[in-house]
Amino acid sequence: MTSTAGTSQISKKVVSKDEWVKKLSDVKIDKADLNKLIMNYFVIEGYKDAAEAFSQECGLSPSIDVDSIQDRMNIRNAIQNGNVEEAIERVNDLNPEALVNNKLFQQRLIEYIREGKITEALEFAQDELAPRGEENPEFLEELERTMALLAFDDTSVSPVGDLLHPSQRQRTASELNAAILTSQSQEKDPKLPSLLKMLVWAQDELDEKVLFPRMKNLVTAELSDTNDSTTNNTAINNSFMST
Amino acid sequence: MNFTKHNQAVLDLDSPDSAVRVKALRFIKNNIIGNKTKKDLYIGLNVIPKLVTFFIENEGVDPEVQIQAAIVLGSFAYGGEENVTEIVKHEAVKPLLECISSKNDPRLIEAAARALKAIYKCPTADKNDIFQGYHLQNLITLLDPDALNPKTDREKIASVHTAELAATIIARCCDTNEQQIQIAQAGAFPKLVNLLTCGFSKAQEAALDALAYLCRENSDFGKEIVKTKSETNESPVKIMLNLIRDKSPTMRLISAKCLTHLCRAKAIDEYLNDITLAVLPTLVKLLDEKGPVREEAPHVLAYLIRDNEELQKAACDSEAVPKLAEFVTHISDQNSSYYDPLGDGDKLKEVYIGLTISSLTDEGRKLVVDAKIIPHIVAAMSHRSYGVRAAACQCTRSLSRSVHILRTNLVDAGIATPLFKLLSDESTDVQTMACATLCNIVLEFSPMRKQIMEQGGIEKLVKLVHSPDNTLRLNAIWALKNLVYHAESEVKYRVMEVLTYLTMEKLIEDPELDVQEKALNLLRNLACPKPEDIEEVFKGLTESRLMNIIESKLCSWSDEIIKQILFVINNIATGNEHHKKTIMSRTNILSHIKNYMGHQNPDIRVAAVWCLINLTWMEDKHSSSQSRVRELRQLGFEDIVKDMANDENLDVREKVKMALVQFSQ
Repeated sequence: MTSTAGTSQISKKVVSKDEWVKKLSDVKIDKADLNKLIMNYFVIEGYKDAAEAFSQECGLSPSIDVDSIQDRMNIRNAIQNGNVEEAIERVNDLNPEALVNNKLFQQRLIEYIREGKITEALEFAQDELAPRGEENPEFLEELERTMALLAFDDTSVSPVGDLLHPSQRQRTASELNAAILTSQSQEKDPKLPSLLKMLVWAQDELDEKVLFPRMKNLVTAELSDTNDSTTNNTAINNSFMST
Repeated sequence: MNFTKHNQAVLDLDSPDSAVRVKALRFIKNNIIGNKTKKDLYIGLNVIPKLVTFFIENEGVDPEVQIQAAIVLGSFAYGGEENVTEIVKHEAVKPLLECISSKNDPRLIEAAARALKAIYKCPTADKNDIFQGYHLQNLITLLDPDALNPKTDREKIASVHTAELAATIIARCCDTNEQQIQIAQAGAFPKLVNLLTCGFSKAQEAALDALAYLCRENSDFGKEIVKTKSETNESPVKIMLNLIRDKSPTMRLISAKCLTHLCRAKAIDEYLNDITLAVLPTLVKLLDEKGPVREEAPHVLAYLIRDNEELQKAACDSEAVPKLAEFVTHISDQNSSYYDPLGDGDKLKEVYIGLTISSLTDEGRKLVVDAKIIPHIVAAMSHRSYGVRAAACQCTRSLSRSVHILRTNLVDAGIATPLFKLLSDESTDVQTMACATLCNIVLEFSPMRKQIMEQGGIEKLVKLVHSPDNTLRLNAIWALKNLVYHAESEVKYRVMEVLTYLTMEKLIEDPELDVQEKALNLLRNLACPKPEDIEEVFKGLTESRLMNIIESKLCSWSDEIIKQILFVINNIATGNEHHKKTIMSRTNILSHIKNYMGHQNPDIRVAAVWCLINLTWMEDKHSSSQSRVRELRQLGFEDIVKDMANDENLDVREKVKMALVQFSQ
């Protein structure tokens, strides 16, 4: 980096929107590669129906047959619907190793607290979580954080209130999905999100030297105007394609 | 806890309806996975023998019952050593081994293999059953994921997982050379090498691990593995050198471990460059990782560089010592926090072993001192894990080989007191290592010698000299003989007062040759350098017993014993008239000395000629020395020495020259 943001305004090269769009359209991208990228996302994240529909639409077969996606999808759905017991049983059927399912026990506790079943929550923590924490110090920390939920009547002001947010179920579901894939020696990170992160990074880098129309909304791929570069934070999070 | 539903589940296992049994088994399974308390609860309800009966009942057992029962047994086994002991006690291992035959339901095979893996993970588990009947053959068949004819991807994933489990079991069942041989003869090598190329990382890691243990300290098998080509015609070493660059740290570690074992087995001498440029730096970098990888990396690194000075230097050059040092500091900090996770002991032990080996070179010792970890080593001498205490001693011992560090840094760190305490440790291993370390600490140039003696070191070492443990006895007598080496007469007197000449005589006749040798070395150190010291030995043993010892040990078949006893004679021959005369009066002794002048071992020839020099030494033209020269000449010694003037050994020739001068005067 040779210049600071303040002084670079003067020396920055400017690329107009038309010029930028033309350059973008000159880049040849194989449609098949794009399809593979999307299929890779559906398969790894366990979206079986989407993978099947997409497969019919573009004639691309999934890299792995849909049966094995089904197992992971069932677990994901159970977690997202709050049926943690079902998820635990399914995980145990698929891979009866404890480390994979500890996350689920934390989620079960969260669900008890969400339902206001405090007695059950305490009993569950004692019978199920304490023995697990004993064997697994990292889990103990998570557990302590979850127990802190009980300290606040109004969870909206609780510092750990995020645990009750719907995105927590999704987080647990994604972690489980990744853990199962790892246990099966399969790729656990879909390529698409990291590619998009790379896009954001590349835009930030370019922004240091050039004024150009940034892609600000990754879902619509809409380009901003060249002179509108005051904010350069592109919204990106893991749930951009969530169901 | 609600006991009734658990009791009900156990009762349901006896139901004639297999659906009820499956339901109960699944209930138990979902309760116990990951939950130690519930495992204990169910074991307390005596569930294991019931599970075992599901495998030995005759025809008609629902395969689902067996699958769930195997998973439940596996989950118990993951709960630790006591659980495995229970499982073994109820004879569950054989039925589980019966399950891994490829004619069974693949899901049953997978569940049984998983349980067996957990059982064999326990170091105390008996591995013999697996080598009976067809079990080993069945296990090796499973190393090929296609053996179970998987059709769907789901089945493929399961069969690769089964292959991974089989490889892990094999890795845990080659403790002895005998076991290595049986596994190799059953055809494991080609299947494991193929598994290296399967593309599923967990199975690849397991295959690497199994190969590493199969070639551990076994040169023949190392070479055989190197020659085994995969179906894709790739060399396993090339595959490993590829996997050592994998993005997963676990894969990098296990590849480095396998290559290390091959290197130590002298199977890949032509890849020495890759070892220095790829394996060593990978292991050093892995010291920055987290979790189990970081714990095992020092162990592998230590093993790689143990006997290789080049690699030790390379390790020191590559920042290994500061990284190991940081590890020590980091773990010591953790220990002071409220949560003290178990198993740290093993990690620390490995690190200290790594540091010990790094301290084998002068450069390495300097790095260890610079990293300021000697205080941590002192603290580690009181660690609750005996492995750590022993390793900390070993590390101190390595450092004490430098006289400078011994006299400065080790003294400053106050190593003597904690080290001394370890002489009374509950573990014999620690006592043995503390004794070995003490050997250097009590040498004449060590400022700590006095301190050790003041704390009752002599009494303590004398106690250990009576230990039934051969190594401990050896190290204790070793430390005592170092203590009297070049010591003042007062120290010698105190040592013998506590040890007694009677005990020394017993040790000279110890069943262990090494102990005999060190006891004779003690006698040798006592009988020098002043005539008064020799006189003390004559008094302590009595002349006749001393001469009996000399005459009997001169007949030993061991070069080491002969050498020591010749030096005892030597020291006596430096004494006064009476001492010299005692030797001269024993024709038996003189004729032995004469014979040993022609011994094939040059060290023994040197020692024998030394005896002659001392016996003929003329200090003041004393008439008695001239008479001894005459006497020895008559016995033919002069002729023999003259014949030795052209001895092939320089040291011998030098001494011969000196002896000839004595005769010519």
